[in-house]
Amino acid sequence: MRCPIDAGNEAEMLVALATGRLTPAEQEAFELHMAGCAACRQLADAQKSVWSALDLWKVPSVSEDFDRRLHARIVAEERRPWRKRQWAWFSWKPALPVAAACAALFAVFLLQSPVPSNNAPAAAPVVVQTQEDAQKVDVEQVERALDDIDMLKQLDTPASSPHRSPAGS
Amino acid sequence: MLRVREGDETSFALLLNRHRGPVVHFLYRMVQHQGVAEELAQEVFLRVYKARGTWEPAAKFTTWLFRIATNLALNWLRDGKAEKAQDSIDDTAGDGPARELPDRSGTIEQKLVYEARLREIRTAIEALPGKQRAAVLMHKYEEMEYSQIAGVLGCSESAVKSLLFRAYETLRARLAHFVRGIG
Repeated sequence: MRCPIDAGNEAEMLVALATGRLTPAEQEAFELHMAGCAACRQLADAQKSVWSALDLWKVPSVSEDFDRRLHARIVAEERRPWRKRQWAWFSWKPALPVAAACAALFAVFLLQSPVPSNNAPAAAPVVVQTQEDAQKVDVEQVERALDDIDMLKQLDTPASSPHRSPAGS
Repeated sequence: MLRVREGDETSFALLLNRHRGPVVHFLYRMVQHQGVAEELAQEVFLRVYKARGTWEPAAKFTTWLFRIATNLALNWLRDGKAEKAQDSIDDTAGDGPARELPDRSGTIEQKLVYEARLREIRTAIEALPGKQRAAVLMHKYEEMEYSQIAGVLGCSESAVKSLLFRAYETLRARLAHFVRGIG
């Protein structure tokens, strides 16, 4: 028999040996090999020891009221309204990241999409406002110019003042 | 299970009677807490009951049952609930490792040695990654074939062999210092 360590199947052989799943012929061949192979013998002993150690681990018996509690849960489950049972699979845990991803996608969509309609109304008041301002400026300038002309007229005509004042006549 | 699907309550009771022990014991060794193991086992059987109408015999019933149990246990471990359960073990005296000790006649010293060995075994199993742990427990205690473990874990037979060999290699290294005395 070829050494299982050299063949690379020692793990399978060890587990099969420990679990008693080797055929009698395989077991005899492996034991003959182990008699002359210290490495395989050591591995086999270690595996058998692990197997025996795991046998030590006993478990407690199941609670006596296990079935009663289970039947109570089944009855409670059957009494639940149909709609709630349909949504029983739903959990917020995976829903929250999905919602966050959707919100992020929506935000990206909003940022990248062109918004021409928004610019037009924003520009329009600006234009209107400048026109109004321009009109206001024109009117003020005209009024100021008229005032100036009036003042000049009053300065240029001192002789005509008797005609204006009835007291001097 | 086919009779359960037809609404036969007696068959469900029989099914529960046959599989209750193996499922609870498997879950107990997975999560190492009796209360949690029973709670998860109840969830397993509740899911079986709820799915009875749609169950199709595509795979062996035991494979399906242990797949549900394994997934619940791995989720529980992944969610980090083991630490909380450990706290509750410490809080509630009598509900935990002490209950699993068999009633053995012997000296106090022998009992202490046994308890120490048991603690080491539990720690070594607990340190294994979830899937390796499940594979070892199904292989060792449920005596499942590689193909059935593969069906439970949803992987190939060669992947199961790899999981098992790595797990046993770790256990050989971790338990080597005291297992020589067992026999």
